[in-house]
Amino acid sequence: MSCKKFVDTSTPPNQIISSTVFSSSATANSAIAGIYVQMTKVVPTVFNGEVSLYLGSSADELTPTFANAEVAAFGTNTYTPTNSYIGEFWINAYNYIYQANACIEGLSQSSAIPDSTQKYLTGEAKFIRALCYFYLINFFGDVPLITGTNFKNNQAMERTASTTVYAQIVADLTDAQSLLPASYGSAAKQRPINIAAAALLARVYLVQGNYTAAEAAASFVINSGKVSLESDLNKVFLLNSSEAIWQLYPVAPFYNTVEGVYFLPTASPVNKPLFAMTSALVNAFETGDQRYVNWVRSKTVLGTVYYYPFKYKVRSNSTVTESNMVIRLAELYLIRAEARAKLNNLSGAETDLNTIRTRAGLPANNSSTQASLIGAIMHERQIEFFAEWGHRWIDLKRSGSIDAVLGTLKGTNWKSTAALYPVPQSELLVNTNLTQNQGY
Amino acid sequence: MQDFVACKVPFFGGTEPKLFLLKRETRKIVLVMKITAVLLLAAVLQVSAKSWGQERITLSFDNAPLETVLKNIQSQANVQFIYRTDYVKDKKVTISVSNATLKTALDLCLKNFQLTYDVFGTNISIHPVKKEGNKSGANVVVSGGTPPLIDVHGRVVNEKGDPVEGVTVSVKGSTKSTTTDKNGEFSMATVDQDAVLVFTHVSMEAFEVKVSGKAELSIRLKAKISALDELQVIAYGTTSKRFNTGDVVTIKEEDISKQSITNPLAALEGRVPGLFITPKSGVPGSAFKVQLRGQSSVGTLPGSLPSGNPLFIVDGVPFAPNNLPFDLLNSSTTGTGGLSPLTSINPSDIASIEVLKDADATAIYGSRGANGVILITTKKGVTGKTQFNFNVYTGENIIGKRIDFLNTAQYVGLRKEALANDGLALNATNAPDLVLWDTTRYTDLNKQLLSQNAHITDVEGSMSWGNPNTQFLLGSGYHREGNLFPGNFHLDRGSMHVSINHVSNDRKFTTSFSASYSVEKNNLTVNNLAAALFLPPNIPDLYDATGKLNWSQNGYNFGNPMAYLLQPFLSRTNNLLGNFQVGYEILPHLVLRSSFGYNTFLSDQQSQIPISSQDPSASPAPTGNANFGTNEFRSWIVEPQAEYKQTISKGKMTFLVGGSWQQTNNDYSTIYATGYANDALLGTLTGATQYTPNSNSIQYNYEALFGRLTYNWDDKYILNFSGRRDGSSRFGPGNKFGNFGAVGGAWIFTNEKFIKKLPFLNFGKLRASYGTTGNDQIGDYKFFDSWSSTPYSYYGVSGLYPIQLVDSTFRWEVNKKLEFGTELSFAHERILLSASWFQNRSSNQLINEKVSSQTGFGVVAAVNFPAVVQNTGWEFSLQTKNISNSKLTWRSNFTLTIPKNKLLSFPNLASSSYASFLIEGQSLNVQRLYHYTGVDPTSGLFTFLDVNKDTSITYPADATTLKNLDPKFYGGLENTFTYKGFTLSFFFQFTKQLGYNYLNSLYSLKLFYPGAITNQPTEVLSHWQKPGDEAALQKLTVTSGTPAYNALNNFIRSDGVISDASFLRLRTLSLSYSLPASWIHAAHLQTCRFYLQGQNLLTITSYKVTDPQMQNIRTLPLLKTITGGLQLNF
Repeated sequence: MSCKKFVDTSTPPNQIISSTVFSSSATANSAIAGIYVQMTKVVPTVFNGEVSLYLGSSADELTPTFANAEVAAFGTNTYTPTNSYIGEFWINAYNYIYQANACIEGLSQSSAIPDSTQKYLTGEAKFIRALCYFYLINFFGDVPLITGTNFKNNQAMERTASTTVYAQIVADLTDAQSLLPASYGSAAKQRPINIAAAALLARVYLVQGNYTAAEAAASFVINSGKVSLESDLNKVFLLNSSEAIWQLYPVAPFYNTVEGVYFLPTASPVNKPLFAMTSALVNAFETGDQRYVNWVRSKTVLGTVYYYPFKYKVRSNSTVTESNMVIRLAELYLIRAEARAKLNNLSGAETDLNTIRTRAGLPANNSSTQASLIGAIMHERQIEFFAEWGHRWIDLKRSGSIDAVLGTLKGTNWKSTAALYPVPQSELLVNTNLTQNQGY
Repeated sequence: MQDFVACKVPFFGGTEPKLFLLKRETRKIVLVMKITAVLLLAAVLQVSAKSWGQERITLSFDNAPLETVLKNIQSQANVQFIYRTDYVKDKKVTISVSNATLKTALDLCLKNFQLTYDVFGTNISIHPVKKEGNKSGANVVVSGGTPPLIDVHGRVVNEKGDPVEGVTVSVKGSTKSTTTDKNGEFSMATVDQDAVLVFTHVSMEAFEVKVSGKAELSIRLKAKISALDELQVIAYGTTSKRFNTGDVVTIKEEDISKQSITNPLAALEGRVPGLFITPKSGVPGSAFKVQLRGQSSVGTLPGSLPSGNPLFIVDGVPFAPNNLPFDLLNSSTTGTGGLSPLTSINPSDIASIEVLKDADATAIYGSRGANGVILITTKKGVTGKTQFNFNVYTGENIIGKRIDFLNTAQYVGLRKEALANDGLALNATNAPDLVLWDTTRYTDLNKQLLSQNAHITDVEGSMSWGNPNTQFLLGSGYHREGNLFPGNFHLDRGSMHVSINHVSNDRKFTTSFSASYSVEKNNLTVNNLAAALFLPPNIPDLYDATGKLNWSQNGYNFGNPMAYLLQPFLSRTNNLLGNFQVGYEILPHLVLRSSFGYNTFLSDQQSQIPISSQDPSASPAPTGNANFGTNEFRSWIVEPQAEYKQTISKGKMTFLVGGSWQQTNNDYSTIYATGYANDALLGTLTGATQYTPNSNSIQYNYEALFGRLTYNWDDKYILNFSGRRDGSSRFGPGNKFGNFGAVGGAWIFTNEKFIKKLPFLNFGKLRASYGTTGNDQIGDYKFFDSWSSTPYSYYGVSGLYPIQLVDSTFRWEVNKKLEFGTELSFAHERILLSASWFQNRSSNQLINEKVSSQTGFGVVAAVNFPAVVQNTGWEFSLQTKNISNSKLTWRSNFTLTIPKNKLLSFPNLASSSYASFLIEGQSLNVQRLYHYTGVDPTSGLFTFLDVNKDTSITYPADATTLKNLDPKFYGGLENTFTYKGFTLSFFFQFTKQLGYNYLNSLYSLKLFYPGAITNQPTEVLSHWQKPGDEAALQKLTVTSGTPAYNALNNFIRSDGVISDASFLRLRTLSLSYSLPASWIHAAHLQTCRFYLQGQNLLTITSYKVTDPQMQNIRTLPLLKTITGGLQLNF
């Protein structure tokens, strides 16, 4: 009956339905690319700079200099369940997870896409899902482990033990390592390949204390021949630098990286950098460290000296020359150093540590004991990865030194329960099966 | 009216009284009649008149009776002769003309008989030629220089010619009066021969006549058309209030024209029982929230219940944008509501607005009628000579309630106290406004940013003409309204309206066409200037010594509000609305007709951030940005119908069937263009270096079959059945169609013999209705699991992302409506009372359900929710004529609504995502809050009731206080006094309600609470300062994490931010004066009226700081409007 046809409509011109998305390689590829766009289109968001800014502020690296109570709360570790940034971490990470899940489901049901394409796109989706869960755990502790798109199954799910979540991360990354291609293609460093999965896996194993596996995964990356350390420290963070394992390409107009915008002050003599390095961080650099020379700058405003990270050197430009560095090779050397040290291979550990120290123009480390060597590696991580993707915050937590370090730095404000962010209030209201973290 | 479904042809439409002045002695008729009177006569004579034209006459008669010749002319020339038979008796004519004009033919016919004629439209009265001198034979008394006095005798009859007893006849301007006897006759001695006699009667229209030296008067008075019998527009037809089984409220042209308003919605505030209207901002063009009979949907997010707009239909065409904000770009000046599309409808083009409320009235609109229907009917031409109407008014908008801000000394004191409370020494970081800025200078931003007033001009003109077959109307209007913000900000609207109606001679074929077109331009600012008032009062000079915008002092920057004035937001809309109807009586009693409607609503918006409005010291150097948006709605509708009328026994039956096909397309696009190097290029797309486009188009298709059967038994019992099958593209396969129906009944008990004897009760009707309507107002495409393009590509690869969580099984929301009502009329219709009780139950709730964000979205596009929401209420309307005599009339109009909203049931509420927001048995609008217990005199902190006694205030355990923000009751009271040419009308609107108070605005915006770097209303001076203080507000703080900071976080979740927001507002005051007819006749004027009008002149409320309707201190409050105008009709 024609009447019935009159009220049948197709989707609007800017939409396609789910089954169509996974009916061709091109649209399926767009679905994966769409996740990266979602991650970087808003400036800043959780994986587009905020981990560097806010985890750095929560740790002992950065101090926000502008008047915003919610941002200031990261510096003082007094965030509340209604903190909108923390709410965004949760909401955005689960949105990316949904997309990854949708891609994994769509690709598995598709018969129209060549097998090789299906594999590497599935590998990318699993890699992204693992990355999101890794950070969710480090933000919130236990979180609901969602691996499908059916909201009816997911909406009331309670928090999953982080060991179970880690197991899923390891499974996803192991899959990704075998599914992803072994060489960089036309997307260069902006799309992950197998060594990106291995690198993230090495990081996860280290956090889990699985040092043998961490060493093996790190070696897989280091020995892959696809990446090499940049000898010139000023080139490390450039687009597709040789050290980059995976970068997240900036898509928003005028931006290179959020770090560039937020760390580099404007030319106006009265404008401070929005986040200043703490004196604890500035003082942690050894004399002669080329990273201090190349990666730190200062600006004096109204008589006060503000130090700020200078890893990224472009504040804003419509031509992209710097891309958001998510994983780079230096980390793998330090992961392997730490894993080897834990496994009592002190000489192997020292070799890896000194690879990084040498590049920074520092003398070789000569620790006599396992403990002092591990201490040296942790210090090296603090300097090498300062203001970068919250490494310091995660290191302080996994090493158990967070209460000592932040208790000293932040005084009575610090509570050990602040090591986990509160579960957003809005989520507790809509999912009564969720529980709040201690101390909130 | 013969039939309760009124004839659409305005043949009986005239409302003017008529009169015959008869000089008995000379048997001479002088017809001084208004055209409508002639028409009535023509109708009585049952003469069919053809359309009026310039036909040529051909006559050939030899000694034929004059009457025969005249009849021949009548048949050729589409005219109607009116004469006394004794004038033409025994008169013979010999005439032979060919292709003569009517004038020639008539002159030739009448020249030999001392007869002449007057032309009134298509009607020609024939009468003897007036003779020179006073041949009346009246008894003329001449004395001195005073006008001669005569004795007057007369007879007063009604339209049927029956004598009317008890008519008061008085001489205007004197105390002389008498009444008519049972023969309708009266006598009055020694009346000035130029005197004006006034005839008044309780059930007849008042009438005035000039004596003009005539001693014998024959007066025909017209029965007052009862308010009960006025034409009542309903869905797909018309009826009268008397016979309507449904609940429909009409706002008439005269109620609208009394108000100097821009948006027709403003005319309805407080005037329609059950209709609750809230303006969102005082900025011209801003939106109105419209809700009929309460909140029926639980909504997406608690605290943002869906708008639940009624369906707006203009001349049979659904208004495509309905009452939804259409602005794609943001002008934050308009508050939270955006711009109202209804501003594009000129209130002066509106003849009436009908609000359809119950199932009986709305079920025929099926799913679209769930939230009620508002029909807007535009003006049509009327039968009669060419009439010109000209109306102009001008005046001022004045701010309603200005916030008193702290001066610099008070502000600096507040800041220092706050910092001291937190143990902070002043430095450039925590107090740049005190350390880096001059703490003595003072800028009154109220003066800088809000002018005293803004000018309004409105000009309307129209002409109309009609004969019994064809009527047309052409109208045009221009409205301009300034803005209180300094600079060139204003709203302009130009509009045109045309209406043509035609009916064939045999009255079988009818057609009508109406079209309205308007162009509206609204210049606003991108940023909210009402919020800029909160800048610190010691803000540095806004301009530097060279006259350039200043941006910082000693390195501390501020947002310069003068820069906001350089950042324009322009909105242009074009609204075209056309409707064409054609009908034919194909068989006796069977009419086929169809209507075709088209509406396009095109909106163009631009917002610009020029370089000149930005801090030049910024790095990189600022470039210009411009945003462009277009939002186009196009909709068409075709509705073929068949109507069959038949009399069965003592009953009249009407059966209507029809179909409806409607399509609405909404195409929109935005382009964000950045990087302009030159401000002059901002109005174009060229010149930018980067573009971010976004566009989409949405199609909504809708179809229906509907039917209505009405049976009226002996004007006593009326039954009305209506049903509809609807299909909507908004539902997934298998769920697109739904069936809806209603039954309504009325018993006019005053037509029963046993009640007819009650002398005080003129009319009484009991009515009831029950039915179901549906609702598909969920948005389009909600059942598609679809992906959309990302705005950017990723390293050369375009992106796709999933846009929504879907559950494609959702179906129609069902609304069941029950109503009982009565209409009573007492004391010769001087008291008219309507009362109704309704109960609407909305189930199968159609919502986009909030779910946890771990699902990926936090919301499911559309689901049916097993909740039942009930709205009940009492609605009253009382119209009285308190005084009605020849000099003074006093009418009152009172409406009252007592609504009650209740979440009747919500299965598994406790485990649903709504657990924390909704409460079974309570209103949807109930807020669950901590109970505020005042400021602790010792600690200086806000305190709250610790319900669970765990020594801390936690949500939701301690949030047990419920506050219902629904209005408790609302309505309006209008009094209209008419004395001679003066009319004074004042309308009070009242609402009893709770609402968010100014403290909510103050404390809920982080970094804007008292003590922070932002100015405050002077009310905050009353805060706690030292132990022992009893203060309204707690101690000041500026630091997050302090006890005071935590307390204020609790405060905004407490009932401390809820206050009585009731108000009594003098919504409309209107005073007008019409020059007496005798003065203006010489100037060929029919009406010359001067008027003064005021809107919102007085508000009585206990609500503090700002307006009780907007309830936000950062929104421009409602404006007062004072205008003066002139209306001419000729």
